[in-house]
Amino acid sequence: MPFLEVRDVLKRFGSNTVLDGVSLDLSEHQVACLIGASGSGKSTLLRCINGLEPFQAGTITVDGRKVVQDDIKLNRLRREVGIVFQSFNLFPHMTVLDNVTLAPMKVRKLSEHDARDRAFQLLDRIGLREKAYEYPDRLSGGQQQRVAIVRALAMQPKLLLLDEITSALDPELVNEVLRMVRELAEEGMTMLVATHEMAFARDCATKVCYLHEGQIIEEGPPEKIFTRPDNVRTAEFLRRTLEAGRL
Amino acid sequence: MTDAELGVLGSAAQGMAPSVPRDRDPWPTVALGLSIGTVALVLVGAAVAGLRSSSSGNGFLGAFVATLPLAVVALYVGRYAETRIVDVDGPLDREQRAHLARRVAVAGIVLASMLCTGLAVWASWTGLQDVQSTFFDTHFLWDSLGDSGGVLKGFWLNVQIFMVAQVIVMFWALVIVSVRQLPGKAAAPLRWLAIAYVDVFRGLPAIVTIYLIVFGLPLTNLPVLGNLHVDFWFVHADQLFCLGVFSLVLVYGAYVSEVYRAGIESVHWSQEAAARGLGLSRAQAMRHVVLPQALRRMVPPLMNDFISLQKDTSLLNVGGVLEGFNRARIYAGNSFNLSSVTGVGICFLVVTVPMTRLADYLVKRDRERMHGGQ
Repeated sequence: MPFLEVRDVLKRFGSNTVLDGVSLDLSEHQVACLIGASGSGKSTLLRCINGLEPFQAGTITVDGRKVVQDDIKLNRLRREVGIVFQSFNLFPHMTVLDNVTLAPMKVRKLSEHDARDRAFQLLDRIGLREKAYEYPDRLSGGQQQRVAIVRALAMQPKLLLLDEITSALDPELVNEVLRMVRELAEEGMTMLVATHEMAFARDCATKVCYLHEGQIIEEGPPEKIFTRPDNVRTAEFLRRTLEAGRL
Repeated sequence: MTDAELGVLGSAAQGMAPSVPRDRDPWPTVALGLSIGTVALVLVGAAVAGLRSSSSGNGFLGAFVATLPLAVVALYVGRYAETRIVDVDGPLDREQRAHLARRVAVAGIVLASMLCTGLAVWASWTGLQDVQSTFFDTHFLWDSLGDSGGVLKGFWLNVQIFMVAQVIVMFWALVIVSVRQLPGKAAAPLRWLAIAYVDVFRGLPAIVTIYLIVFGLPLTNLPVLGNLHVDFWFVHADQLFCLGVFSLVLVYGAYVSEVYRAGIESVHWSQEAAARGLGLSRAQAMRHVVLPQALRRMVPPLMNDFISLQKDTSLLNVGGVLEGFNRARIYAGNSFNLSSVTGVGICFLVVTVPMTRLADYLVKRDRERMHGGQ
């Protein structure tokens, strides 16, 4: 049984169908990239997997645990499933260190000492140890996003959801964030990544899924999707992306 | 002359008239003339007014007021002249002239306003004396504050009511806002109740609520509320005090719960999403992420409401509470003089002005912090 199993998920906002029967499997230590135009449902799918959005039909199973709309069960699920957002969403009233240690202390009930140890280890790895006592405002976008990833990693999740994490960054800051994600992929972190960075998807993904109007209309290994896509819509999307200089 | 002839003549005149080159711009001279004229008018007027000092100054007051617009026109012409000279590299004396014109015009404005003020005071001197004896009679003012008027003692009651009411309001509003935020269908009737309460007591004039509560509740046989008083250990509060506090809490609880709600809602939902995404429960996200950010934004409006609450304690006089304003009013009635009421007004200012300053400072600090980051 795959680590993450999404079966025929249907999600509507009012009369607007955002996810129209999405199915997706992801095994442990694999990286799947969701590509597709804005509004195709990439973010919504990630938010459904994390239980931040309720969905109307279908099932999502993470590590054998079903995602249901029940606060207590969702809180437990979210310990295993980290999510990083496009707009970082660091807590502006806390220092970097407090941002990273909050959840391990309050949810995993780590002692302050242990939580700090772990936070400093992670910050060391991304070279931001000296920023530990700064407030997020003082950091560049790239630094903020790396701290946001570290904040998710501090919970030691088994699955990491990345929601267009480079879309709000200046171009010169994109690489420092992607480098970090590449390292995570090499270490075997299971990740589901919604992205517009096709070069990243080509290099790091074990699987690429193309979403169109709430449906995954093509999926496969990156070398196939990017060179000989079966579906005309996929080909069209990739051609336009290529023209925009994003590949 | 026909129109055609006029047209010909007009165009001939146009052709013949020497066009004014920009460095011969007349504006600096005009401005200087205007300003000097203004100052001369003011000075001559002042001299005449001084010589005929026995007569009423009303006529001259009008004259001085009339010179003010002239001075303002001079000021603006001078400024206009200066801006024109800057981009022409004109002769220096023109620039100096325009500059001088502005300075003289400013002097004219200052002189005219000073004379206006002086004359106005002089013309209404007896009226001002009446103002002093009506509002600021030092004898009545001091007398009313002390034992014979009891205004200070009464004002202490205002302060006590305010302090007790403020603390209760903060908790009561928290209850209301918590009920309003309860999730789920089962809590819907409770939410409606809270909304209805807020709507009613925000809509009612405070004085109506106070009147109804203070006179009405003692007439009822309601448990506790019908005979509201506190006799507990060393805390004693009579029925009137408790009813006063109760009515103010009803009114201000509605306002303050709205402040709380606005504060909580001002924290972007993505913050809660990030907290929940990390596995924090709803309550933990509220406690560690949403509330700390909301509280900072709530402080200034909260201060404003507490300043209002402080002032509105004086409304309790309609219910016969012997607070500062009520005592001052009684003293004013006995002495046929309003100075005692001015006295209680000053008492309120002494407390509210520092609070207003503090609120403004907090708003300013908050704004600076928001613009300081990023």
